[in-house]
Amino acid sequence: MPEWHEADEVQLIEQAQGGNAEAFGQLYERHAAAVFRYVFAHVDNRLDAEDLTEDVFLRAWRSISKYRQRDIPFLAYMFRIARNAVIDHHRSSRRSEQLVSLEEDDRPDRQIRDFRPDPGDAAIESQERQEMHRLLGQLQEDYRTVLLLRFLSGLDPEETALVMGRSSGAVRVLQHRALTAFRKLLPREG
Amino acid sequence: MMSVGQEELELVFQACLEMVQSGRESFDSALSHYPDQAGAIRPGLEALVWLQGQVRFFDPRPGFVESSRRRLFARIQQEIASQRPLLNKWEALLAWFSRPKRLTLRFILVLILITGLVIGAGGVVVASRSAIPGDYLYPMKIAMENTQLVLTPGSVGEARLNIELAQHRLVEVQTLVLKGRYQYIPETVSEFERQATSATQLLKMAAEKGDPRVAPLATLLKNNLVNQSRMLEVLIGIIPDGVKETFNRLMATTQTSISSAQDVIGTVPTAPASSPTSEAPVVATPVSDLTPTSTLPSASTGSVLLSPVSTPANKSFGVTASPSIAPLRHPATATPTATRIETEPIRHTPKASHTPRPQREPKPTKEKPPVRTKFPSDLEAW
Repeated sequence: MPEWHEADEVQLIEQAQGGNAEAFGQLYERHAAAVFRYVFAHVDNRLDAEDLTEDVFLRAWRSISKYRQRDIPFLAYMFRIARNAVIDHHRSSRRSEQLVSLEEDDRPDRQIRDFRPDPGDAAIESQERQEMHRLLGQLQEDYRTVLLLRFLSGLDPEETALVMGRSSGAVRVLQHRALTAFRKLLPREG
Repeated sequence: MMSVGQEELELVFQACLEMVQSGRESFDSALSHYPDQAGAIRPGLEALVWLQGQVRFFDPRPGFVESSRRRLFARIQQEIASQRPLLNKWEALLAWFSRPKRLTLRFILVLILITGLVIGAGGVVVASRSAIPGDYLYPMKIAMENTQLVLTPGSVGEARLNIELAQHRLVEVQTLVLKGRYQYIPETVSEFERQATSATQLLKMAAEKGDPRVAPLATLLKNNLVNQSRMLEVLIGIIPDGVKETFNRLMATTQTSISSAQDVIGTVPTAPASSPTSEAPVVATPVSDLTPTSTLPSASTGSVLLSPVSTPANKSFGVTASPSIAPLRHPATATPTATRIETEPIRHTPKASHTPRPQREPKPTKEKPPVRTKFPSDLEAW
């Protein structure tokens, strides 16, 4: 249960739209963790996820004057931006990897990047996360998205529906199917 | 489309999911509420429980939110400082316009803008010339006239311009009557009075100094006013009673100005031979036979045709033709006049080199008909 209230959030959004960076900072504190989890589930290391999370909020700050609260909840708006940021990140990563592969496939720094462990993470945590990445990677795109938004970032069905551009009923059905499909990928002993 | 059974299964799954997610019930107790659907919804709930256990691995490291908030705040402040949001479209346009590498485009746009302004302003000025009081462009016409007055050097030049402007006002009064815009007449009459008075005063001042350019101007003023008086006399019969008083005032001012112009003519010498307006051959006509019949366009250029007509109209105004000789721009128009002159013709011969060719004596048996110019309607009989 969040400690803050919707009324506060509306006020903070209005202040941020008026150019108040401090108010936007409070919005950041409220939603940064959820956005980070979503982003971290899409990228392979923590540092990239942190940079990308900041980038998502910076994009939100630049476009917040155009945001209209009656159209979409703020969290759903943030996740739309996050989704686009993740897509852009993968595009640019693919491009840079293609460039690297054209030049030197066995370059040592590439090896380091691919297998570099997160310095602040415990080895087990890292393994668990990599396993999660591997399993999620086997799901189709909309299953993966609904699972991340609903159960990793904690959006409700309505917010998830707005991010994904579907009805909330469709999201409920989708989440059930996605969970069932995901269970098939997990080890049998549960 | 979902079947009833499938729809029911989704509702049961949703209910169990909420129970487990909220922590109100354990996984098994949630399933025990729906033993018939337990087998179908179990895999999904198992996956949910597993996912919930994984969330902690995706949490941000401790202190990340605080530190990244500070970084984000600094980046935002930097953006605010370096890129102030544009206030309006004009500012955005200016910003776009001032970007480098657009010199050619900038030059072309400025050129187009200036050309457009010049063409537009020229068109408006031309259109404003025919404006009358009550038209949108009339204030521009007045502004142009005032500018002309300011820029005109010397009292004689100013007098000439005032004569022209007074003539414009009289024409405007006539047009206003014909268009029925009576409400603008008093203002136009006042303006006429001001300009006619200025013209006569300036002429008097120049006459006192013995300026030889005064005589033709005074003649011009007098002739203009005489002609316009006839039109005003016709129009006074068709105007409403409310305007008649103003019209009478206008007539009185016109007569006063005619008298003043006549006085000036009597006090100054005629224009010197070098005057451009006297270059054309001029033939004198007996005073009793002269009636100025200048048309509006020629009046403004100083060309006045003296016709040997004496109408009741000019007598009614107490007007006597000027003893001085008004210049004729087109000698051909004066030819018939000359044929009827009994007295010795006076020829202005300014310079030997400019001596006009002697006019051929017309054949007494076959007299050429007089050349018609534009006359006021009451002179058409002539």
